[in-house]
This record gives sequence, structure tokens and C-alpha cells, in this order.
Amino acid sequence: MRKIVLSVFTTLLLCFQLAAQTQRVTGTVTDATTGETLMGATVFVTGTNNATITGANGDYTIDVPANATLTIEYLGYASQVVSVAPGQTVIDVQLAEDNEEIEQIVVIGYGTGREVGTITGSVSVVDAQIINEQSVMNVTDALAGQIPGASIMTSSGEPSASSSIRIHGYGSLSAGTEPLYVIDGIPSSGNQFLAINSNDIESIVTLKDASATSIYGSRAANGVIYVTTKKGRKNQNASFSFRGSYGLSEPVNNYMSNMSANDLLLWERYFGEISAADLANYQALLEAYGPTDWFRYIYQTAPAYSGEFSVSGGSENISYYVSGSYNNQDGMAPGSSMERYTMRTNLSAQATSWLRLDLSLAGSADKRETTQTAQTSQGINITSVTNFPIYMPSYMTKYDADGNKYIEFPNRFYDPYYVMSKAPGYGRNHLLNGNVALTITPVKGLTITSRNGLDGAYSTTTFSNLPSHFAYKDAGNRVRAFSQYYTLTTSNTAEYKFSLPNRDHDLSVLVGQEGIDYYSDAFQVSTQNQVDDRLMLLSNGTTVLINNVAESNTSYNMLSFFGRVNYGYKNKYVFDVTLRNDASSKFGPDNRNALFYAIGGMWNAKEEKFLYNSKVVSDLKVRLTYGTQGNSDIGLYDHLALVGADLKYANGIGKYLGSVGNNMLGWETQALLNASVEIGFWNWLAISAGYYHRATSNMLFSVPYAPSTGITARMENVLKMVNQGVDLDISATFFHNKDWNVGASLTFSYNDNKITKLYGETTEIPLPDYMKIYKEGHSANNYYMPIFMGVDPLDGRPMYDDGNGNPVKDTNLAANIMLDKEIYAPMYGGFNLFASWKGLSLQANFTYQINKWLLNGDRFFREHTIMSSQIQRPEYMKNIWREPGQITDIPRYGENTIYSTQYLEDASYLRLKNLTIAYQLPDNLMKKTGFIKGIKVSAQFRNLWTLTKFTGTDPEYDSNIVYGMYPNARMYTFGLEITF
Amino acid sequence: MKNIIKVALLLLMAVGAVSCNLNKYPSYAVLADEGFLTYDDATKFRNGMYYYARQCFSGYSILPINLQAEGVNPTLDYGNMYGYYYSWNFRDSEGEVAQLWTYCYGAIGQINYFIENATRILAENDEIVAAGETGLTETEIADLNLFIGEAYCLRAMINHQLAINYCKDYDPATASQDWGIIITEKFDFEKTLGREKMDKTYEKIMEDIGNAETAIQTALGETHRENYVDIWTVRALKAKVLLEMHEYTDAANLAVTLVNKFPLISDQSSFKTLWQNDQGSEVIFQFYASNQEGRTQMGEIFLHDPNNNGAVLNPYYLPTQWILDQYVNTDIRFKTYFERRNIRIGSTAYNLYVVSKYPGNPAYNTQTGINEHYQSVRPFRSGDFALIAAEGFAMGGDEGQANTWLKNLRTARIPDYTHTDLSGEELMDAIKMERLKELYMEGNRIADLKRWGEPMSRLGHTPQDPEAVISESVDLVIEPTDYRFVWPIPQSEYMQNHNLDGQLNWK
Repeated sequence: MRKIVLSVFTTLLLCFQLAAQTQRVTGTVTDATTGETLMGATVFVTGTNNATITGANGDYTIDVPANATLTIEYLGYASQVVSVAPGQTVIDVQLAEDNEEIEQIVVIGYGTGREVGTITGSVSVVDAQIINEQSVMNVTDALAGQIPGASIMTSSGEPSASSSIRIHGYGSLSAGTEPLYVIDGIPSSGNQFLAINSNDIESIVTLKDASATSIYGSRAANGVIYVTTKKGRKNQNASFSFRGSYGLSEPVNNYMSNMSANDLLLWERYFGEISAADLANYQALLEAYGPTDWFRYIYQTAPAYSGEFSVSGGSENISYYVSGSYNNQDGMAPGSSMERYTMRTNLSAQATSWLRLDLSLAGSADKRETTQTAQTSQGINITSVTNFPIYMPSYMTKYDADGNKYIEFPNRFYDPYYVMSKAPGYGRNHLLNGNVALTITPVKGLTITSRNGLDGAYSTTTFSNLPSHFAYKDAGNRVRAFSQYYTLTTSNTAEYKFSLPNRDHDLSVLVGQEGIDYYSDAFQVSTQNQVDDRLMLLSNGTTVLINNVAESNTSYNMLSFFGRVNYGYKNKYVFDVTLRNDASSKFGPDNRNALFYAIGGMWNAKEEKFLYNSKVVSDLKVRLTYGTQGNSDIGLYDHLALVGADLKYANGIGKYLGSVGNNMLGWETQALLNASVEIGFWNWLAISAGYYHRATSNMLFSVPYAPSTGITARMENVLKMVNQGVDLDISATFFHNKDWNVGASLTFSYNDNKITKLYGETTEIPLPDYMKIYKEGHSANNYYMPIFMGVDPLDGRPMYDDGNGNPVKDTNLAANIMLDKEIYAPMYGGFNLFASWKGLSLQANFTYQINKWLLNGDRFFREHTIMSSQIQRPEYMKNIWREPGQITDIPRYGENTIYSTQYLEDASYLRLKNLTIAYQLPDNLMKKTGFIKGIKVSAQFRNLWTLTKFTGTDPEYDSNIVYGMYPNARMYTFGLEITF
Repeated sequence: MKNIIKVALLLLMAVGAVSCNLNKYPSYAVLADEGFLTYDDATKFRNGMYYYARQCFSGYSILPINLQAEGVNPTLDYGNMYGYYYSWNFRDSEGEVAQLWTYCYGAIGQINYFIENATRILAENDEIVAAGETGLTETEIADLNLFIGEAYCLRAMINHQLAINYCKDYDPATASQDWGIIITEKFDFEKTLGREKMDKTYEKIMEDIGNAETAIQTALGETHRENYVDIWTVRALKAKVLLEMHEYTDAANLAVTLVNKFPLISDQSSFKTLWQNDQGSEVIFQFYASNQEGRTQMGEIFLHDPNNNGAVLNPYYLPTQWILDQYVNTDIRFKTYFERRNIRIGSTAYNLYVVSKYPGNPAYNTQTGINEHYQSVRPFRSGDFALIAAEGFAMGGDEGQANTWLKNLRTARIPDYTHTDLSGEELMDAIKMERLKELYMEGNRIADLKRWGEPMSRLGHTPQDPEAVISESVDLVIEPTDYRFVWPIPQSEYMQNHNLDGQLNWK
């Protein structure tokens, strides 16, 4: 130890002695692959403002202090650091393009950036190119299949839909399962993430293991998605970029079987669903107008377009990135659309030699219309836009016998176009996300940062029933809702980094504090009896009912302290230790503080003598981390016993015991173990394999109570659950030279979920309403429902397993049985193929889910002969049981079928999520123009192709049962990008 | 260096600026410890108690059980609305089965919480007064005692509602073996209880009735209040309970005092007002309702009007021809309960009778010109009690009085009615038929059939037009021994309450 201290001391002394000596260095910067010279590259003495820019031939000259290092940066290339040996005067540098195997710098939670290769935890970096190429409003959808261990699905084709994201399985049953989003260093929210224009994103880093996430403490149990937006570079001329795109959407395949119009009419008459008079009426109309394809009627081709610009650059002390974008996407169904504006400014100013100021500010405004959501209580909601195309029988015509267009069809369905035009509604969101950071470097190696973020939104919705709507009889109504929230976050850190020459010892120590102040409020009012479609303000109504007035507000605070020590020896061994303490107002005073920790280690075996010169093994790293995180994503006041006062009796206020509370309510804690190996061969094949064991305990769970106790549920810390699995990530570059680049990558994840402990004496919690059971030793995601055993040929009645393998026909005796089929696919991932030749490039991104099961609710309702009548039926309903002896799977008419394995389908799928073909016009052509740096044209196809056995509208639905789904859109987009 | 210090100070200020208050409270509610301390709090909790009690008697507790009975046909357009009840295919996880149970026990929880806290305030007041300090006024003390009496009455009403739906008929011979309901007398959510036997259940109901009687009599005497529990409400409940307990003569005598206090309506327009406007001399107790609170949708399934203009209806259920045939044309009930209207089923037009008993109270509509088909929640009206008197006397052996009360009711309802005295089985059959006709679609029928041990039979009940209605379950007969005659203990209860193992109705 003394030796180390001594050597530190002498090194420092040396630095001071030699500080005054400088030497002049010249050289040329070229492209490592093509050998072309690079004009405009920045060359600077590392850690100083001493910089220059390469000239037309890629040449530069700079005065360098002895023993210093030079950093060379160029847009689109990996920056490079070279040390200047004493007396060295010529240094030629070859820069490699970004997509090559080079060390990336990532920020993983408070503190300055680190090379990916020196982090003890496994982090997944998504190449910005993949996100930037895709002109989508929902960035999460573009990530599907890209992050090993993350399952991403989009359950709706609404333009404003967001996606579900789960990292390493569901870690919680009652609390939130969304990862924590950190945007430019400030913990933020999923809606802010979605509001980022995809082209503003520099990188998305997913933190999955303990050593990377524990520093985020009580909010990190579901992983962390760390987003860095683009920044300008110092000493760089302004670079302008314009992009525009136009696209068309249509629904992905519809796999449903439909009986023909005439057959369906006869079928319905046979079973008495329609009267003889009805049959004649419908047949006459059918004769006159022909059958209708209602799916095509509702889902029509819809356009989308976008325009964006960005400028980035920098002078000696200032760098900037400024962008703006506009997106407009029409929905395929009536009354669905989204329109969005975003803008962003990222500024950095080196105010003094020791103080840097950073501002990152983004705003967005959007307007979105969504179709009414499909719901069901008994039977289907026949006014829902998305149910209409699935259940509307094809014999129904758009016009009646007099040639008038139907508004309400004889089977009670309303025309969705009429409904959406007479009951218009839309929402507007205004989001603001930004932070200001002061970074002080008082002495070399010490960085003190105060980062202060504001994350806020203001949202309104407007909904009207117009007086001209036939059912409102000239008495319309209007609902307005307003809500806003802000989160103020301050995080203050001090980090000391210290390295010995040759990186024999790397040490960094971080301490910090974070405070969060959250506030939200909302109110909603509706008035009635508006008489004119054009005068629909609240004040145009005549009546306000007190039940239609609502107001609420909530707040919470959190105070945290944290620290991290990271030590590296010769770049071979890296260790780190993390600690964090959180205190939150969401929990009971008896259980408010929580301490989280993590330890991690990494062995970079490639640096060892036995591998150092290996031509075969180009990379080998082993990582092991263990640590704890928490989940505090529950209601803000769940721990309190409360008396409410919003009931009414005889115009008087009624008080009541609203909740019984739980003083002991605390964090859900998670212990996470990760082990991974990263191995590279011949510099073109990289394989990374990881194992994780994610044990959640004190799980926040809304424990059901018998209603006779007076309450029905209470939030408690009870269950224990384990998710464990493996991630595999393989990437390969098959061919790479001056003109060609061909490669592929694959991610595969396997997750196994198991409940290990329930509460008290309870060994199972059956939740038949949700088709779930929580049982010790079994997955929380298994379906739990009656097993269908076919139809008795003698009487046509459906048979179900009674729990002992015997068939019963009384549905009350059908046993709910836990199946070995899971709601959430245990296996998922994606693969990418890319190929480029000169300026032409092709990229294909596939995503898949294996062993995913989904109850096809549309089939249930379309085949049900008690709950539904006068609706579209599948072709195979002709096989319905009609006479004794008939062998069929369709029970006789009028049987009360129930949710059972009869409707449970394999919804595994493989989907070509994205296919992009782009062409970058040749550089020499661009040079001739004198001012245009680049032109790129592209064609992009989303959800172009799907492979599945599922017979509903779309298998990419992330829940236990699907009906009336708005199918995902297949999009064809054409784009143009010009850079000056 | 000075600057560095300045900036460092700035940073420290930023740290301090973050509010560190970790005790956050909502603005929609107050802490329970501070919520029920004063007389004033008690008056507000009393309102809350009525609110919860009202939920236990509103439409959904009546409609599904109505449709289990005879007298209606679902139309081709009914969309399986309450279809599982109509066809007796309902399961122990069904929404309505669980909802009534959950609402009833939720309300009992609130009532118990009220009784405990109001009693505590009174006890604390005694200590305050004993210490020589100023306590509650005499009026406040009297009010608190009255409220507690009301609480007992509401609890008895709800326990009775549970017993009617979730238990077999009370049979004195087997009451000590048959399962009753879960009786909770203290708010303690951490403790689950098993069912009491039937005799204990009714004993507890009678005990609450007794407590309510004493408290309410002391505070109010015979004063009648329509929207709050009074002595007449307690008596009405008691008459029903006594009838079930086979205390026939006591039930009948009590029923007589009720009908005398709340006279039967005999003219057409007043009878229509009773059903349309929820007003009239027959109302013994009904919960408060307005277009802002407490209204319940009863008529929608019979009078669904897609265009909201009253021109062509599209009902979910139609009255059977058989039930129409049971009334004479001049019966004011026939003219009130049924109406011939233009309707459409599918694409076809019809002109048929619809159930117009619940035409929608215009005062309860929220939108100008649109009939939303809402009514008041009315647990007790005197028509019911005239027939309880008749049945009680008949079963108690006083056929003379039984005939008198059957005659009284029929005379009120049928102009120019002449009564011929009946006896024996013929008398009881007449009373039973009169109950069906009088209380059509009021939610009593299944309980009545249970009490009489008779099947629910739609055999031979012809529809008005077989083309307009579904044929499923049209001839359904459910024997009184069928397990489905009693609603099942809901799945949500027995899954969490293992005291009920072996006490379930269905398994």
C-alpha cells in the first residue's frame, strides 16, 4: 500500500515538473477502412481546451505537453485516444467507424462515463442507428427484440399506443413492473421517454444487474433504461440535418374465420336468432347491396408523415444540439390519430477551466384521439369501434331498404363512423423535461456535479356528445378533464477518479444525495344540455351534476443517499461496491427507510498473458454481481387508515371508513444475482451469455380478504417470488471490407418464474376471475381454468374436467385447474440481419415470443350461443352439434360454455418488426455540390410479416385474454434525409 | 478558489432546498384516528351508513332474482342481459352473486364501525360530564341514541336480505341445523367467521330489531319519516321476519297495523304515481333519491328506447302472455304494470305489451328529454303487507281475517270487485297468485316460492309472440329441492374464508 501511495506522489510531482515543456505534433487523420482522409476531425489534448481541427487533407498540427494524450473525434467514428511519447512529432491516426467493435463509453448512474468493458455489471447498449432509422412515435416498439432479456410488446395499433416492457420477467404482482427511465441523468418516467423524438437519441442503455441498478435503490427493481440524447461537439462546424418521411398504415393480418353472409343468415334462422320476417328482410337487402366486409370498412389505409430538423456543433467553449420535429399519424380506425411536436436543446458551456454548465431541455406537445376501449361485462360492448369489425355480421348491409345509411343497425350495433363523429374526444399532452447541471473539477480527478431536473406534464381531455347525436335528442354534454404533475429531482454527487499510468490501478469513489419532490393534481367537470354542435363549451350547458365534478391531488417525497467505490487492477480485475439508502413518504412510518447494496466483480481474461496474443479469442470477460433493489411503485397513501367524506345521503355529506391502512407497509425488496461471460472470436464473432436469479421478497400484494370481514383487500408485504433465466446475445460480422459489411445478431432470453412463499398458512391464492392462481412452487403466470374435454356426441353438451380427470357437464362442477401454459412467454428475443454495399444498406429486425398463450376472447364470444346472437360467426360454427351421434367440438346451440382451454391458443409469434432499405448517395457526388454533406433515401416496413398459429386479429397482445383488439399496423414509410 | 467555495455553497443550498417532509397525507380523506371524534362526525357517518345500506337494496339485488322467476321472456335482442339468471345457469363467481354479498357485508362493516364509535363518544361524554366539564347537549345525546337505533335497524334489514338470498327457507323444525349467514357485530377485518345456524341468525336479527325498536320509540315515538328509518320501518321488517319464522299470527297483526297506517291505493292515477313518481300513501320506507344520488335503474331492460323518443322500443324482456292473462282488464295493476307499445326486435316491427311498472321517475333524469328509467330504492310498501296479513292469518288458522285482507287488497286494485270467501288450499292458492300479481318484478317471488316449498315453473307459459323471443328455458321447471334455489356463497368469500369449509350451499 505504501508503495502505491509513494508512486502516486511521485507521478504527481513529475506532472508538475514537466508541465511547462511542450512539443509540436503533426499528423493526418484517415478512415481506417477506406483510407480516405477526414476533414473536420477534432484533435485535442485530453482533458484540456487545447484543440484543433483537421484541414482539407485530414492534416493537423498541435502543441502538446509531454506525457499528454491526444483525443481525436469525428462524427460517425469512434473517438480515439493516443499517447504522445517524448520526442514524437508525427502521429497519424486511423479512425474506425462507430459500428465496429470498439469500447463504448456509457454513463450508468450518477458520475462520469465509463467504458462498457470496465463495468462489472452487464449492460446492453442499443445502437442509436437502429432507433434513429425508424421513424416511429413509439420508441419502445422499435426496441422490440433488441435488448437481451427485455420482452417488449405492443398491444394496440392505435397511433398513440405505448408498449409494455418487462426486463427479466414480472418481478412484482401488485406493484409496478415498468423499468425506471433515466433521461440524461435524471430519473424520469415512461411517458417522458415516449415523448422523445427517436432521432434525438444518442444511446439507450439497459441496466439489468445489481451493480448497475442498486444505485437507483427503491425504484430499480425492474431494471433501468438509461437514455442519453445527442450532444454537440466542441470545435465543430454547424451540421444541419433535415428529414422527412411519408408512410401508409394498414392492419396486420386478420386470421379470423368468417361464415359467408347467406350461410350465416340461414344458420341464425335455424337456431331462432332471427325471426322469419328478419330473414326475409335481410335477404332482400343482401340481394340489393351484397355482403359487407366490415373489417375493411373500419380499418382503412391511413397516412402518416413527419418532418424533422437538427443542428449541432460547437465552438471552443460551447457545444450545442438543437432539434425540432413534427409527426402526424392517422389511425386506421375512425376516431384515432396522433399528432406531435417535439423540440430539444442540449447546451454545454465550459464557463471556466473548472466549471462546466449543461442544459438539457425538451418539450413536446401532442394531440391524440383514441377509439373507445373494448370492454365486456355480459357479452360484448356493441358500441365499441374495435369490436364492430369482429362481431358485425357480413349479411348486414350499410343501407336500409329505402337506401338510407344505417346509424343504428337492426342488431343494435352503431355505425362507428357516426359514433366517433357525434361523440368526438381527444386528449392533449404538454410535456417538459429538462435538467441543469453544474460540474466542477476543482482538482484533477475530482468531479462535483449538481444536477437539477424538472419533469412535468400538463394534460387535458375533451369529450362531447353532440346534440345532433340521435340518441341525445338535442341535449348534448361535454366533459373536460385537466391533470398536471411535476417531479423535481436534485442529485448532487462528488466523484473522485484516480488512475496510475498503464492503468495498473484505477480507483473511483462516488458519493451522492438525491431528493425527489412529486406533486400532481387533476380535476374534471362535465355539463349537460348543450343544444348546438358548434357551441359545445362547458358554459353552453345548462346543468352541472355534483357527481360529474371531481378533483384530486397527490404528492410524495423521497430522500436518498448513496455511494459507490470502483477499483480496477491492470484493466484485468474490476470490483465495485454500491450502497444506497432511501426514505419515502409512500410507506408507513414504521418501515420507511431501506438500505440497498451491491457488490460486483469483473475479470478481463483477454488481458491475461495466456490470451493476450491469441488470434482466436479476441475478447473474454467474466462478470459476477450481487445486490439488492426495491420496488416502491404503489399507491401513495396505501399505508394510511383513512376516513373519506365524498358520499351523499339526502343531500348531506356522508363519511365512511375508506381504508384500514397498514403501518408496517414497506418496500418490496429484490436480491439479484447475475453471472455472465462475454467471449469474442477472431474479432468478428461476439457471444455474451448471462444468468440471473431475481428473488423478490416482502412483495407488495393486495391481499384479498373475505368480504364478510368488511373489506375486500389490503396492501401488505407478503409474497416471495423468483425469476431466473438466461440471456444470450450473439453478433457476427460475416464480411467486412471497403465496400461490404454483412452481419447478423441474435438475442435469446429464457425466464422461469416461481412463487416461493405466500403468506401465513396460505399455500395458494386462486384468482379464477383473472384465470390465475398463485401457488407455492409454481409460476405466477400459469393459466388457471377449466379443461375442456370435448362435446358429448349423445347430447351435444360440453364436458369439463372435474379435477380428477372425469368429464362433467354442469359448469358449476368444472374444476379450475392450473395449466402448464403461461400468459407471458418464457422464451423471447429477436434477431437482426444487416448488409451494406457502398451506400446501400439493408436492415431487418425480427422479434419473437415462444410458448406464449393467449385466451382468444373473440372466439369465445363469436362461438357463444347464449351470450351472443345476431353476430358474425366463424365458418366452422356450421359444425355445431345438431343430432345424437355427431362428433364435433362445437357444443349444441344454447349451451352455456365458459372460459376454458377450448379457447386457449398458442400465440407464439415471429414477426418482422422492421425492414429498412436505405441508400446514401456517394460522397464524391456530394462534394461536387459544395455544401451538401449527405443525402439518404430510405424505405421502411414495419410489421411486414408474421408467423403464428394464433387465430385472432394479432398475437402481439400482452395480457391473458384478448377481444376487440385494435390490430397493430403494418406500415410502409419512405424517408429522405439531407445533411449540410 | 473563492469562486469554487461559492459554487460549493450553492450546491449545498440545492441539497437543502429539497423538502424532506416524509409525512404526506391525502387531500381526499382524513386520518382514521381523526375522522370520528365528535357529534358532528357522527351525523356525517350516519349519512354514510344510509348510503351503504341503500346499495344493498337497489336494482341489482332485485333484477336478477326477478328474472329467475316466471312471467318474462327474453327477446331475440336481449344480448344475454341477466341471461344466466333467466336460464338458471349462474355460477358462484357471477358478478351479481358476489356483488350483493360484498355490498351487504361492506355496509355491515360500516354500520358496526358506526355503532362502536358512536357508543364510544357517548361513553366518553359520560366521563367528561363526570369530570365536571361541558359535554354534549341533551339533544345531541338523544340524537346519538336514535342514530344507533337506526344502525341496528339497518343492520337487521341487511342481515335479512342476506338470509333471504343466501339461505334456505327458515323451517323451525330444522333451523338449529340449517346454515344461516355470517353474523358480524364488530368491525374487525382481521377475523373471519363461519356461518351461524339459521335459528341463531334469526335470533340475532330479532335482537337488532328489538334494540332498534326501543331506541327509535324513545326518540321518535310513532313519528313517520319517509327517507330515514322510523318505528314503522322496524315494524315492517319485523312482520316479514316473523312470517318467515312461522310466527304467522304475530306477523299478520303487525302487517295490519302497517296497512292501516299506510292505506292501500285504489285509484288508477294515484297507483301510477306510486310507480312513476315514487310517491303515495303506500310508501312505508324508501331511501332518498334524486337525479344526483341514490336512484336505481329498474325499467331499462323492459323499456329500452334506442332513439330516446318513445316511438319504438327495443326491450330486452317482454311479459309472457300467461302473466297478462292472470289479470282482469279493469285491474289498476294491469293498466300500470303493462302497456301495449310499438316495438322492434331485430329488423321486425311488433305491437306488444311491455312491462311498464318501472316507467322512470322524470325527476331523476339528468338530461333534458331523455328518460333514463330510474326509480327510488323502496324496501317496504303496504301492498306487500296486506298480503302478509292474509297469508299470516290463513297460515295461523284465521281464515276469516285472511279473506278480509285478500278482499281488502283486491277491492283496492280491482274496481267493482266482489269477493267470495275461500278456504283451505283454495284460499292459500288465491293468496299466492295475488302475491305474484301484486308484487310482479319486485324481487319477492323466489323467496315466496322458497317459503311455500313450490317449484319455479314456466311450463305452459306462452309468450306473446314466439317469433320475438328466445326459446331457450321457455318451459323451465326448477324443483324446490334444486340446489340453485339458494344463491351460492360467492367464490370471493369462500376462497378467503376457510371457516366456510363444509358450509357452502353448492359444493
